[in-house]
Amino acid sequence: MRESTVPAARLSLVSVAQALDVHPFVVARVLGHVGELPPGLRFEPADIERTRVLAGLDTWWQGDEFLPPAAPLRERALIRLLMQKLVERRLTDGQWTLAENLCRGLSSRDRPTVRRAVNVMVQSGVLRSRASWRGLEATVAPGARARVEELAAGGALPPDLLEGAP
Amino acid sequence: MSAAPPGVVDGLGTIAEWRAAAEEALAAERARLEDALREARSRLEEAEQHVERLEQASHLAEAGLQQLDDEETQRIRDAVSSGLMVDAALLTTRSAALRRAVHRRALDAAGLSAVEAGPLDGLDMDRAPPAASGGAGADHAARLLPHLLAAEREPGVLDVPLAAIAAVASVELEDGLPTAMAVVLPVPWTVYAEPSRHGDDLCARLAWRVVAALGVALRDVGAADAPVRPVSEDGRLSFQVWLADSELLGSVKDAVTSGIDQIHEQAHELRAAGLELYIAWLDPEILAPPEDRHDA
Repeated sequence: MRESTVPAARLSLVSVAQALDVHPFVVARVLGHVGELPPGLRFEPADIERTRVLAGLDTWWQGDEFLPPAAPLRERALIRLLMQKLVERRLTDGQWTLAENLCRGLSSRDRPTVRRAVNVMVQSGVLRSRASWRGLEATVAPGARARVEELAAGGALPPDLLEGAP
Repeated sequence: MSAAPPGVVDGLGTIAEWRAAAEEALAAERARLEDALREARSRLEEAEQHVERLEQASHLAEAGLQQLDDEETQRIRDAVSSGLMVDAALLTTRSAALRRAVHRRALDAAGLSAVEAGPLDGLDMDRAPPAASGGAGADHAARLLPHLLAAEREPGVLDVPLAAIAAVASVELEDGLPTAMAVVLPVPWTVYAEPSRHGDDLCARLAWRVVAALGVALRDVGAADAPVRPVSEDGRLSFQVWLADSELLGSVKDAVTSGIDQIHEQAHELRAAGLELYIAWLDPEILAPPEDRHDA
């Protein structure tokens, strides 16, 4: 979130979107849906956090994760951490989250690895998706919960999640 | 004195005269009929040619009638495209004019000259004045910002005639139920594709307000989760909404029209720029992509 040294109610919608690292249209649709788009399109700094919550934005990767410096251990660690985050955030208990949260916070170096793994999990039915007014949401399919918990606990990662990882 | 010819001879002679007279009469009749026949054949030939010409003309007229719908559709498409282009140009022009007018009014209110304030184009109301760097520039920017914020809300900041601009929209039906909706805005596609290029200019603000209005409308008709996909429609921003998976509780057309009406009330920047936004509902065939057109 950007440092707010600005006077109240002068932030534009673009600034709010930039602070949240989303497209301005995400802010517009979310605030439109809840009927809270300010008539003057000017925002107070506190609106940034409120919009983040309304939009369901959750930064899964804080940058403080321990990751080996090089492949292939780094990729294995990323995918193991992804499994653990799926469990920690209770997606194995039926919770839904924005699909983009699964990669939110990742560096441009690590994002392709996790994005690819997520795509493989969607295609193989491990992850389910649905459309919502916030955007595309994801959860762990009921039939795959035990498997994800096993992988999070240290089970051998399937090759298709690692295959082709840079 | 010779004797009168025998009766037989006399009789034969009479027959010969009858025969000659009859032959002459019949030959004349035959000649008259052959003339009439030639005349009739000639007229028949002309009539047949006339019929052929009429048939050809009739086929052309029939084909023209069949093409009329396509021609009308194409003319409407051209008119819509042209109208959107004109409105987009007007929006862009007024956006720049409004920005200049707001800057001028803010300078006056702050008691600063343009020279003192420095280049205003680089002064973004979103960004904090460079107070940390200190100096007169930072001080002037700090003085100017509240006036910029106030000026953008003041009516009459731009002295221009009121003009109407329109978004165009359509709802596609299947078995009487809406399956998809398209809303095309008079703003360039770059508003979505390159948001930083537009900042918060009039085009961007109009697009955000429409996105928000769509969000409200979809929520109100029970289609809150309907996917809304921005696409480029001939270089202009269009929203495609998938409604087939939603059970609508009301008219999505009425809900969106109501949302656009509310933009009238709320969008002070449009009023300041002398613009009124309308929405025109069209047959879905008009807004259908080329691959989905029936006349393609």
